[in-house]
Amino acid sequence: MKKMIKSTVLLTLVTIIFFSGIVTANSGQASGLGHDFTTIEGAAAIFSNPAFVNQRENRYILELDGQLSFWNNGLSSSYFNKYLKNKDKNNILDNIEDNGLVLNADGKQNLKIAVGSVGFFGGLKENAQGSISADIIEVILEGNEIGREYKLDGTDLSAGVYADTGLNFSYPIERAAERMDISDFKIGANLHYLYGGIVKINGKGKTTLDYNTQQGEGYIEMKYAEEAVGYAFDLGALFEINDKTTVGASVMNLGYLKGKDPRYSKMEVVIDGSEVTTKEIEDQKMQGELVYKLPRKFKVGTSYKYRSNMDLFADYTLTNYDSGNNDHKLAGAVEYKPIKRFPLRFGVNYSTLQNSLSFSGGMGFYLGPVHLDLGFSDLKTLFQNAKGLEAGLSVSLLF
Amino acid sequence: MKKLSLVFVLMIFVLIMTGCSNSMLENSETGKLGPAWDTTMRLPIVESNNNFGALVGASKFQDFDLEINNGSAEFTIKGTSSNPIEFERETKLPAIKLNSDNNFTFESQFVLEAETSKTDNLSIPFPFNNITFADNAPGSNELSIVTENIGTNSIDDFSLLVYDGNNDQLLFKKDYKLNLNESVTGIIDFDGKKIDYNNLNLEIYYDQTGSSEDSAVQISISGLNELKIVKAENISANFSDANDKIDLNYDINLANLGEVSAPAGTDKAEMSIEFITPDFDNFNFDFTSVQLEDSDGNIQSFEEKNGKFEYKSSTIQFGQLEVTSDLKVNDDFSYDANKTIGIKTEIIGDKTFNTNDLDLDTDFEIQDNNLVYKTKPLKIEITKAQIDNINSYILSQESYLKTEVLNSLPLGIQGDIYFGTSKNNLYDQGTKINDKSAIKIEGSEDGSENSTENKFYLDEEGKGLLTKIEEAVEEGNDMFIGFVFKLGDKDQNVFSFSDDQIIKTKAHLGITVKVNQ
Repeated sequence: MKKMIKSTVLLTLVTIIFFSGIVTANSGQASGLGHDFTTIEGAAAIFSNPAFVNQRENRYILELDGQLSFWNNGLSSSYFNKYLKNKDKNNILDNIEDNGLVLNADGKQNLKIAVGSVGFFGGLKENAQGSISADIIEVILEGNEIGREYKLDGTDLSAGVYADTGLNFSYPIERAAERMDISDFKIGANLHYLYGGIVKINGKGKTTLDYNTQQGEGYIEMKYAEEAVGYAFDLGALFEINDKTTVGASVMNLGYLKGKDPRYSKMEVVIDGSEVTTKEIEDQKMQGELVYKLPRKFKVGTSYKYRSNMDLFADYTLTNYDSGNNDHKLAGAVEYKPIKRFPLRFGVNYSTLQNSLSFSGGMGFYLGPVHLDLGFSDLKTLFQNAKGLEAGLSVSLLF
Repeated sequence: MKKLSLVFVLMIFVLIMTGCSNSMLENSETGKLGPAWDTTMRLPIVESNNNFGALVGASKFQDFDLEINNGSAEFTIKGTSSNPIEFERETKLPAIKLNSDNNFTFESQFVLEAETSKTDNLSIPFPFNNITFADNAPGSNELSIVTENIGTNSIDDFSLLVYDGNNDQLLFKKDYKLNLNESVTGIIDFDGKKIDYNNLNLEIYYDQTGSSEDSAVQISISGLNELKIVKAENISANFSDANDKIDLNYDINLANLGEVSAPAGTDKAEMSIEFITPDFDNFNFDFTSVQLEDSDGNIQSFEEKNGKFEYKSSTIQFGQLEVTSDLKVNDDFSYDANKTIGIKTEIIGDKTFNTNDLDLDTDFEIQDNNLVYKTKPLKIEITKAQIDNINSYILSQESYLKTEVLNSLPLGIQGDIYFGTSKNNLYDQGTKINDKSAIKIEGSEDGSENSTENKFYLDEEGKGLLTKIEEAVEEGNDMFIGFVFKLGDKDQNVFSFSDDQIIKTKAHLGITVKVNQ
């Protein structure tokens, strides 16, 4: 039996490492619910609310998970293999509005260990978010209008690839719970040490094509650091109102990566009539600091035990990205356990930045101490109408 | 319950596979992977505004009257004190003559060692950076190089080469054989040269292997005292002629029509000239006099008043205009003859003329009490590179040439569009590309614009406009487009137009590109 467990764990590890590179997922449970809910419990809570890590039945957890996600705010999968008519083009341009076409990719591959009130986590994270100006997308889709000024401004990319290791601590404060007359009150915190590389690309400029003038100017600059280090904090709180209702709040990713010896390059273009002048600033040491802010999240949510085998979740998250974009996300989900070993999950969420409603689904396979969770969103992909993909897989050992 | 879970998993699997095999892998419209669409790039090619002031080159006026009688037309352009007839012209600035303050000289002696063959290099300061010298300036822009044998033996093989400070250009090369005390003078002519360096590089070569004794040579470089320049930045020099005259080409068409009379109710016609000069550092244009030679050869002087030069007379007769200016400079001045000087002329008076008086490349004729007006052929501004770009994509059948005519005249117009490679004979040899009465626009009572648009598809059978443009560009010919307008009213023969009542014409190419198709 031990040998079987050993083989299962090994096989699971290999599977996670493999899938973590090719699928998009939060922890499997969170991906199935469609969101990092603030009141999710256990190891999955390390990246959603550190106070909930210790809110679990088992004392020991060893979890491996992988996650990659991609979304954009303008192009749904229904356009992927379609001839775009004027109505489709207008829909795309209406979707992206002034933000331009926002492209986002995230990935995580983590090992998490939690023992009692203390947790350890380590792994890789990949964040990238960029925008292409609405004017550029409009020219690509609909062509130009004579005499109109088109702007490159708002075309940018911020990205970081880094190792993220740290500690979690979550602890109940009974006296505070008594004062608030609630069942339980916990606070939690994560401390992250970050090490990796960061890059920022920014484009600015404008061009006008008119009967008597053909002029434009603009530039694209790139700042990057092959080595960047930093620290980050997460803070969270748990309010167990009663045995059915729990409320949580957290602030995640309070930190940044600062580049060591950042580099800089720039390409300038000036168009005056038929004369095109270019000026290139070769790759050189950058003056000043290069800082990549982690996607900062302010979260509040609740969970409600509707029945002994059914939990309901609701959440609101505000995310500030390094690129300057803000995203407001509302999410709701249900976890149903018709039998304890095979929980089923379904979720729905709306993102203002993505400008889209997403649906998710997932399930768990709990074989004794080994838990396998998987999830997938957006389920609208099945009907050719999703703006993003996310899938998750996690394997846990619980004792 | 296990069966329920199994069914759930199978449903998910089937849905995913169905989604993938459906339209995930192929665009049903194109058979290719990925989205496809058409996008239209619009290239402006011509635009012109046509009002009756163009007949005499005036941009503004009070009224322009047209009277059509028995197959002929008479025009009267009127200028008042509130709305004078206005002409704006620009002319390029001339090259200017200067005396340099640099007193540039260089002198050095070199020992030519016996039984030695050697090349020496040296760099000397050259204080003329940021100057562009004028072309064809005899007697100016010259640097003299004097090479003298100052040793006690003859020199059989000696060469001097002078390069610019960037070593991009060989400015001077001479091989010498110098007898005792002999000197030879050479000249470097800087006409047309742009100086973007601070030094000259000299290369000296000699071969004295056949000589048993040393010799010596002295090189003296001087000159560039008298300069004629077209451009300079932050230089110090003086004008060689303190009262430099600027010859300005005064080409207003009204000058060809003879005299302008005083407006009704006044006894004098008036003319004023204002100069609009470019801004250069430490460089001032001080215009001292403006004189007009009338048709009898008499010189009429303008009076300077509030920065303008004014002339009043019962009639104004046009002839040669002479402008005198005193150009003043301080140290570190800049100048650029590629910039223009503007001349704004305002006339208060009336001038009546008919089409026969006009010496223009604009065609007017009267047909059935209608004025038929042919616009100046407009060159289609499209380059070989743009044609190549167009051809590098798959053209949609939707690509087109679109013309737009906007009419704010108080009478209706009809028009035709012509296309061809001959500017002078566009309307005889060119192709009329529209069907009958493609352009028909009502007149405007309140000065607002009525407009019409016409689209001509490039690959339309029998037209082949893109092919014609492409062939013209390939053969190095220009393509022109022109409009013929017919104006008139069967119930009216006298019309009056203001300067903001115009016929505006535009044309652009719409190149529709099929993306991923």
